[in-house]
Amino acid sequence: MRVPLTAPRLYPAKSVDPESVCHFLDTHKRRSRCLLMPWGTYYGLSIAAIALTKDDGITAKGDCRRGDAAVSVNAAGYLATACWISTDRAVEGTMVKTVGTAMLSHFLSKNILQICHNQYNPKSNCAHFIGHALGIKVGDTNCYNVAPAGIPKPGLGFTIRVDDLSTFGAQTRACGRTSQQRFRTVCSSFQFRAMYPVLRFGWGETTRNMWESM
Amino acid sequence: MGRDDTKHVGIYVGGAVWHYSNSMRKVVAMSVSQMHNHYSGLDPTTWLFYGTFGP
Repeated sequence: MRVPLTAPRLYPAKSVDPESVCHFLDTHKRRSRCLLMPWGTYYGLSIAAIALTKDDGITAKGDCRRGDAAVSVNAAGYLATACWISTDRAVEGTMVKTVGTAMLSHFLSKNILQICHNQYNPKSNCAHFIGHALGIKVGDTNCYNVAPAGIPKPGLGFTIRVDDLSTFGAQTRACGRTSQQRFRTVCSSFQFRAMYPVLRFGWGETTRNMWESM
Repeated sequence: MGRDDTKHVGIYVGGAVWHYSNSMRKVVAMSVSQMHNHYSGLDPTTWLFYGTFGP
């Protein structure tokens, strides 16, 4: 059974001045309004927005059209703001093709201490990284409420546990267990959907401690 | 899925698996084959899961 999304939003949904949140002021400031997205409900679109970085060539005037979205990634690497302008399916289709790698490249080769503003660095950071990368805050524990005392914290924490991600995945889209032989096939068959950047996750669980070597 | 620590998770997107390498202490991207080969010695007690996030 599909459970309605309950992910907390990081920012309230409200109309904001585009110049206060957008990276792409030259193009976005001419737009009529910019909505700060309620994270959780629209996180797919927010993620898609990250594809619209300067590296993706969406900087020239005229490249930014209705349906474009933008986010800013702060120095710590987590999503700080997200904005989205209207809807244009054709443009969204283009964005989806470039989402993911453009967004994740912000984190490539970074240590978790360069990603986590709470400076939380446990033995395993696989789920912790994903929490930051995708802005997921589900479960009882996060990197804010378990971070060491004495470190200034901005009050924002992300998921740190694999099982919480698993539960969240089961709540939002298909989720299941597969055999070792089929795992590669399942991964290889993943494709982006036409409209939304459906991110695919793979995770494993074993009675042995071999996963720590990853 | 239990709460023990013997789990690993990554993001599959754009033909690569992006995950945090605890041994290298940094974010890395590797192919599905590389990821799969890393666990070539999985025994029957190992479970593999997949799932998707999205609207």
